[in-house]
Amino acid sequence: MEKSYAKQKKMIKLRRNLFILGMLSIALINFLVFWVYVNVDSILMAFQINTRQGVEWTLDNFSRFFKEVKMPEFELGLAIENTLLLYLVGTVIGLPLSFLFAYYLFKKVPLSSAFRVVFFLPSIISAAVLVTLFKYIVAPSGPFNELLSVFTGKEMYIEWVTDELYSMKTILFYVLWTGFGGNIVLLSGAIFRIPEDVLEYAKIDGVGMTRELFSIIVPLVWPTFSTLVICATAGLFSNMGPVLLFTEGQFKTMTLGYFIFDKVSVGQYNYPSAIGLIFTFVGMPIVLFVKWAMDKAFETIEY
Amino acid sequence: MEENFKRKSTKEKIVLWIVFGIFAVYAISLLIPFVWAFFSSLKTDDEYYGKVFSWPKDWLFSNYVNAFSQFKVGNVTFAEMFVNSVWLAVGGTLVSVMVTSMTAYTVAKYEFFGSKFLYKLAIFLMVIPVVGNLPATYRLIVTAGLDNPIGILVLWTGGFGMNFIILHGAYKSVSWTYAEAAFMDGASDSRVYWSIMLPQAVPVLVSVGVLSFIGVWNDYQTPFLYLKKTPTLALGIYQFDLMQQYRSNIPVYYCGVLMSIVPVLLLYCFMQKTILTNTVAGGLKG
Repeated sequence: MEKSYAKQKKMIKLRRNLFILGMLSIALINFLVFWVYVNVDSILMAFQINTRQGVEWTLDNFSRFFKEVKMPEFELGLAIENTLLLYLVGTVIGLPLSFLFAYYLFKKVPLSSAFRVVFFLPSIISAAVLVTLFKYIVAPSGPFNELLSVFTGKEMYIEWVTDELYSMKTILFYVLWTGFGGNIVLLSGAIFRIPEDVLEYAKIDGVGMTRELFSIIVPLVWPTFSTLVICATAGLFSNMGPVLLFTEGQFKTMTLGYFIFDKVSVGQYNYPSAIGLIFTFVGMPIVLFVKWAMDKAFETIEY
Repeated sequence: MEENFKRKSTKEKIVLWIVFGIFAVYAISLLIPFVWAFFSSLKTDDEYYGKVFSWPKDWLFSNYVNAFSQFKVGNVTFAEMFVNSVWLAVGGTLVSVMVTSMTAYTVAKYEFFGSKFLYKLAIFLMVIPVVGNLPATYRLIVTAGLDNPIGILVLWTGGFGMNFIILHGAYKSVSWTYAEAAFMDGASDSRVYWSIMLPQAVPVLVSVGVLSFIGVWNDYQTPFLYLKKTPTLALGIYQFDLMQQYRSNIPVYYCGVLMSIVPVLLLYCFMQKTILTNTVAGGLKG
């Protein structure tokens, strides 16, 4: 009797282990192929160049990068600068703004439900569509320049997208203009989850809106906020922004992400792999520092 | 949890009206391009270039019908691009949500060798700033012959990422009591997952699914790299825009652009409450 019970228990355990393995198998295979293999291959490719004789092992890709990054004509220095600008505008400025937007939506600004739908539009509509419409609006003979002409009384024919003076600024404006939506959903979700009692008690104690925001909402929503900041920081150097759709990297709008994307789309693998490896190492301490700083700022509160 | 505007103090009301003003300006700025594109889509090409702010002379709704035949990239028509988008968005979403749900459920509800490691791995994968693996991924996909509408679905079989965090949190909060009762009645692990636990997570799965659908529908980079012969609408819009440099048919182009956003717009309008109440991501502990 005891033996058959033990056997039955063993069978259950075996079945459970098989179930667990089955449930995880697809994700694990994907991880092994598209993360482990791909990253190992990336590292190897960074140390290779293709010659007529075949593949040659070398450090040339790295030395090429450190040489070209100093030469303005290769636009690598510019790409780094633009990538940091995208992070500054999209994350450092954009995320706190998203948070403020989410808070005031929660505070029931008149028409808040309608605003929530409209603010999320840039996240549900393809960047291909939005960029296209934006480009036609700011086109030299488009409505934006027409309006400027009316207000200034002068004929305005500014090439906002194709003039090097304005093109990156236009892209940065677009990134900020359309960057709220997706984050508002997650941040609103976190704010709406805050227990009603907490805010009611604070109100009874005479806590005003500013104190409610900074002393109650911010600490409670911090885990979600810091998750968004950390993820954005992790994607800092691979974020190509809407550069492909706007300018394909022309007019001084090159970013690191687009530089790699562009090289890959024309069949060059080794050099972009080396650049990727360099910026993975540059990015790692930055992400760890940001995570450490975010964890230090507020203690996580379970609710 | 929503507060009543009327019950607020005067100071708060003033602040909220100022914020309302800012919100209104921002909301209008987001809507203007679509309104402008709609009116432009009803014009002739000459009218479009003639006067930017004029109303359409004859409201050419026929442009929308023409878009089906004239909005073409190579030999691929608007309708074909639409079908390609539907396939990729539905297929990618189903694959992604199911794999992520299975992974998140197992890690959240079962203690096994490596379960804690897998959660930490998921966090690690989100925060590690891998920059240059696109060349290796591209080479792998092309060499393995996965650069077609069916093979490319493999890209969505990763069980980790932000959706994993959301679903892991959701499954963690689902009570294990029903599962234990079912195990006592002899139900298998698989039965418990499909018949008891999965149905309880449906609202979260739906919101994650809708966001995934929107993400795949709007993705132009994946089709740009891997599906040039079978472009989706997102890629088609980009390619058609490039073609405008050689021949102009802007109103018809706007028709295609506006029609391409209808499915995701409808989906979001119907599902926005579900998305808002169920899309909750906690912190990255670990």
